[in-house]
Amino acid sequence: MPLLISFSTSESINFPPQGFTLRWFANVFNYESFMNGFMASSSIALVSSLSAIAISLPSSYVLYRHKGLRMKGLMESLFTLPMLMPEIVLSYMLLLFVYQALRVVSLLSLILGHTLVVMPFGMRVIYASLANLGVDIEDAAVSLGKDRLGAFLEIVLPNIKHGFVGGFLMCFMVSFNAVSISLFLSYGEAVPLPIAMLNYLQIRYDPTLAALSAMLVVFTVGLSAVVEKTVGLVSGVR
Amino acid sequence: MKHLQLNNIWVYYTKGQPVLKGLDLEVDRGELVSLLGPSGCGKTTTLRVIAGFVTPQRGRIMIGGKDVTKLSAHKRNIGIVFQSYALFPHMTVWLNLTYGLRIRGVSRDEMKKRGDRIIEMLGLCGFEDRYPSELSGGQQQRVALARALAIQPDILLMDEPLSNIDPKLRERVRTEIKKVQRELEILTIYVTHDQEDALGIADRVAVMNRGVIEQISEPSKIYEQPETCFVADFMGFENIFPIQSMTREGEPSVLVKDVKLRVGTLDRDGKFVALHPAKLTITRNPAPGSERLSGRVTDASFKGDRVKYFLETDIGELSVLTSNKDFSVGDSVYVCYRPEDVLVLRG
Repeated sequence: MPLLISFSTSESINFPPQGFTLRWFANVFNYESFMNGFMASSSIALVSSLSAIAISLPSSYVLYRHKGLRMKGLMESLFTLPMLMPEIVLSYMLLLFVYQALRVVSLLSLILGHTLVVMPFGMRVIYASLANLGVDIEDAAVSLGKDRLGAFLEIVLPNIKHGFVGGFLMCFMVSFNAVSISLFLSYGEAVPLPIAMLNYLQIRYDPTLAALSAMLVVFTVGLSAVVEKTVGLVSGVR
Repeated sequence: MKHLQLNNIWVYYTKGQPVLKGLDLEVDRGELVSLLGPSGCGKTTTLRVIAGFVTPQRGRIMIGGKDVTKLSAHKRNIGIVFQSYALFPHMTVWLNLTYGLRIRGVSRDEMKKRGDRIIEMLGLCGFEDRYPSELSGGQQQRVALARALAIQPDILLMDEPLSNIDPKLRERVRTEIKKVQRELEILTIYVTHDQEDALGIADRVAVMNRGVIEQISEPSKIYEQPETCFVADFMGFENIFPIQSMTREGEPSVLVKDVKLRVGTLDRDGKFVALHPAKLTITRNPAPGSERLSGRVTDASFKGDRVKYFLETDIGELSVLTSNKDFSVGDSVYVCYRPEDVLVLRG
């Protein structure tokens, strides 16, 4: 639908679309808020995904290696909670805590919020690839004379790199699409793309948004395809 | 002094619930000892204690006269064959095999020499450049064994090495393992839950139950003269009965459910008697003077060349495994036994 409408020559959104033009696509690139929004969303997604992975790796490793850990259940729920809680509630809480109580700037609070939201996804994917690998090969390396750290770096890490890439891409996508958290936390300088789109809608009602949506669909599908190729979405989410 | 000594090993994963309860084990150089027991008996934990992956809360581990209780796993020089083989998926067979040698900084020539020797010994020629995923289960297992042996370990540990092997091939692989072990004269601890596996390969079998070794001796002795109910049950002595009293004077005998059973010897105090189903015979006309119990056939199950009969007798239900297929459910018969086949168990 948005794809069809985005080629329409009509000034407003009509169906069926009339004529053919690439004007709206050009419009997307000419509208500064969209380009800034895309850059903001991308950088927020990039940084928050990287931090999420950086936190996920040691945490999932510890949770995985120490099955008998006390409070393991508690820790696990702590990591999955952001996924289960309605995003809007989480966003509001973050607004209260991160933005108002800590008085951090919008961009930083956005990154913090996004990290929190995407972390469960990173955890899941990395935990799944660790579980898939098993503890034995690390122990095998140790028995052959490698110390724990060396065994982890030389043996475990190369074998979960797919989980890394997949987990990162997944986090990236989730962050890119997290509308309500951006809605609550974006003020002033950093306006993520979804918010820029909402703002645009309040002013104009032409097929520019349809063109942008179409491009986002292609972008997301492309990323999903990469994720699917590397780890597989289905096994990753489980 | 034995090469490997475990003294009074206690391991707790959770407080108050020991997995190993003061385990003692001594193994000689070149000996193959099998740890046999059901899941949860502590056999894998014992293996992990020897390997250094689990530090016991109490007790001492000595290898070659040195106390290694506190020594980290990677400094112990112990080869392990894991149940899952645990080959490194991102390395070729050759790189897997020589991993331990590279860590030890062995020279290129020496590495080639040692690697080639192991490869030849285990029949892995031509597989050097393959990845583990390109090998069959049996080949992976040999690579795992080769990798563990390449470091010339002081001790070889094997955790259920045959459980992922096709049942038809198990006996052959077991013979191969035994051959390599003999050739290298390496002290080996072999963990399994399969009694046939343990009896078939080990010089001595240690039957484990609830964190201790119940009995350790040569396979034939374990099989024919179990000392406890647990070992007897594990070895297929299905008929186990509590003893009421014992008589040593004259012909030794025990009293079970007010029935006198003759026994061969009574050199130790016992709480139970055990009768192996295959050591009993059934007949309608017992020879005069033979030891027997009267009973009635309640059930029969066909086992190919033999039949297992269940009988109701004065001492309780008995199972008898025999090649005589002439009996049917409801028949009144006699169960005959030889006094020397009535084993007295200590508990």
